[in-house]
Amino acid sequence: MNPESHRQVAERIERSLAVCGEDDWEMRIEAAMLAGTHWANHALHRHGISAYEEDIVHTGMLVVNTLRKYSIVEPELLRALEEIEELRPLFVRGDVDGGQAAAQRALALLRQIGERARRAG
Amino acid sequence: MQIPSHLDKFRRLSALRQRFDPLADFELWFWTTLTAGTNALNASHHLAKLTSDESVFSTIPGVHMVRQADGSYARALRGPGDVSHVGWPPIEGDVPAPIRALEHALEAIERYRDPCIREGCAPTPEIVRECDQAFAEVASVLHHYCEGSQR
Repeated sequence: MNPESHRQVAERIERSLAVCGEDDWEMRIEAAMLAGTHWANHALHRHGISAYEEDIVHTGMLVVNTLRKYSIVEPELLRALEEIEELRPLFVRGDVDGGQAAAQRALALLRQIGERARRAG
Repeated sequence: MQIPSHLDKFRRLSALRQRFDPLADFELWFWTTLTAGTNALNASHHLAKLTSDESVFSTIPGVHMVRQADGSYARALRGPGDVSHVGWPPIEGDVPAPIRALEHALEAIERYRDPCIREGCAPTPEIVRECDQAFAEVASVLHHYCEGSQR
């Protein structure tokens, strides 16, 4: 996908988040992961470090050396995305207490990711 | 994860998916549908005694988050428990026909995941209808197993 399409999808997901309430922590975390990943691809394409056909899906699925390469240009954005990913097993696929707070953290990380991605162009 | 937690998530996510506009909010409507469906699949696996309902949480096949003595969680190797997607990991053994039907219904939903969520393919009313029908099948199979477990 091209950077503009990634931005549009990320922003649509962010708008849809308005439907979710405090008790919908699973989808708040998942929305942060989905929108954050589109923002990451937007930024990496804008930096010219990844091709449009080489979108990342999950940071955890990246080859280590590819993650290292991308982290040269967007270390904090990718760290934030990785932190969102780490919330998923416990609060989305798991039932650990604290889902609402985890969702708040995920959304704060998404805001940081969006700000950084917009700076990329 | 234990069955009551799967059922609680299925119930809450099923309610949430009704609040989204399936086309305007397609990404979250779809993801909520898929996540609810995966909880139904795991609950059905556990009720049919195909997989463990131990309170550990799936990451990649064979690796689960497990509570440690100090209350933190760490990755550990585990046998068959929750799956993250249909066939990831595959479930060995004699899988009953209703669960195969549930898997096929979930696959009918999942096939739109990458095209519509990650590759920019525009959702259509027909895709929404297909997903809705498949989700009804998912809910029906889960209901069948829940009823069976109460007999």
